[in-house]
Amino acid sequence: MPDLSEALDQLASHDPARSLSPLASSEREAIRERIVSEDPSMPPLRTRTYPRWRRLTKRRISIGSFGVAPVGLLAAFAVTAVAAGAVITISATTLFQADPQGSNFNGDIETVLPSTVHEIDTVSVPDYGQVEVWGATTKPGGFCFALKLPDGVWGGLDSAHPGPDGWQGGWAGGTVPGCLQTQQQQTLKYGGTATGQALEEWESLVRNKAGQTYSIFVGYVEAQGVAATVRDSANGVTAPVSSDGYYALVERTPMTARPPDLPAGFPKEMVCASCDAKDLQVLNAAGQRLRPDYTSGAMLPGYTAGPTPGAS
Amino acid sequence: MQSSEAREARFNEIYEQHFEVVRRYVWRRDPLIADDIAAETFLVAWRRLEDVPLDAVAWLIGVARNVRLNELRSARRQTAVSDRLAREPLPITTETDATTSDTVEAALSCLPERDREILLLSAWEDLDRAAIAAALGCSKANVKVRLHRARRRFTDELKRQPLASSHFHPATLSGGSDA
Repeated sequence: MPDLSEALDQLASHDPARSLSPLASSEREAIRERIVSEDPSMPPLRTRTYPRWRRLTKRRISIGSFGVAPVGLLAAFAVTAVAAGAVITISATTLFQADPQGSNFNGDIETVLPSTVHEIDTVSVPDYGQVEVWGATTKPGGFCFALKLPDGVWGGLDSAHPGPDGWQGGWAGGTVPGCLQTQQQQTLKYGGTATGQALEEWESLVRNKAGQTYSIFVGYVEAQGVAATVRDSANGVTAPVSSDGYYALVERTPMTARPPDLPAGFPKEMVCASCDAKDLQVLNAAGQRLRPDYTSGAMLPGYTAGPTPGAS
Repeated sequence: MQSSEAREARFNEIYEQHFEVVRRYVWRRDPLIADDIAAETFLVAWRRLEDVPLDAVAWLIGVARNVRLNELRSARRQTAVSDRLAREPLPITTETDATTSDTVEAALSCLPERDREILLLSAWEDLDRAAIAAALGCSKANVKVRLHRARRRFTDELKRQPLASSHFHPATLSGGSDA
């Protein structure tokens, strides 16, 4: 058995990249040209509605689908309504059917089943108000979520009030509804391993009057056994799991403290993209942690045949 | 304010100097997405050139690490990559001293991802503590503690390992969780 020093030497000497040939200069130059052809003053399209430091967090739904015709109509309606001082009263079904996100996952179009559109929960955000959480099942077996903010506006549609740093009326989270695939769905379609998580999550941010940021995690549980709560083990915050497997958890946006001796010029937002301090776990009524289940989990509401890959 | 020519010249210098370093960093962990992640990393650098420090390598590795982790966090990407990884041969390198290397590999594979990452940043990327701190986004003091703990756990795992039979294959050790 090697001692530590020998083992570290072996590790260094077994660097697998030693055998890696440099990229062909023509390819490297092509990449460089593609990069420098980008206007550096323009943020990437997908990040335009997010606070920049959050742009690499998981499952943030991309903005950019507002060019899709029905969504364009929705957005136009929203702008007109706000300009006229009216409350935006787009129905949940209309919103979900409009499919602003496009919801195309590797060829799967996550077409919402209208009969499954329902309010999952109402959550309370301190110094912000009540937020309605709406969800729906999609034809291929995924799901979509949207939040109705305290003033009755759908988060993400208040394009007349973009606010600084992408905040829209104190909300940031990208195009709504945000759609996800279940891990069961992905496992069936692509094979291989899933993420190892017993839940799916879609995160939105809201900023209250005091300037504090709260995260609203919305998602679906895929766990063995009967799920009762979702708990962030990092801080003990819990949220109930509904009988049909959904949850909505609110907590102060979980981040580790900013490193004290970060070198000058280091992009803090990039650091914080991976320093979420949360750890969402699924527990049963006895408080035991449940393992993920990607093969025989409960079917999503309104869905009778189970996740079927490759929606027609 | 730099002129656009000066800006591009600075980027070109960083790109030429570090592209392969970043590509190798990703390749060691995820060979199949190395070129994509490296390109994405330098796109970030292009957009944020004013933030890139003079000694850019740790900054770039930190960005590459985050871009990669983000890719891995996406389940559909992860499953697709896992699926491809299962079908395609991974980059194998040396086979010398296979028995001892197997022990090292086995011990390494038993470590938590965060321990592996910090050991490999030191062993493969040859980063010092300050650079590792920059790449991981933590303090130097924190790196010192984490490195110490990782080495201690690595030592413990080395002691636990029986002589293994497979060849050393670091690429199979890459994980998707945060380090």
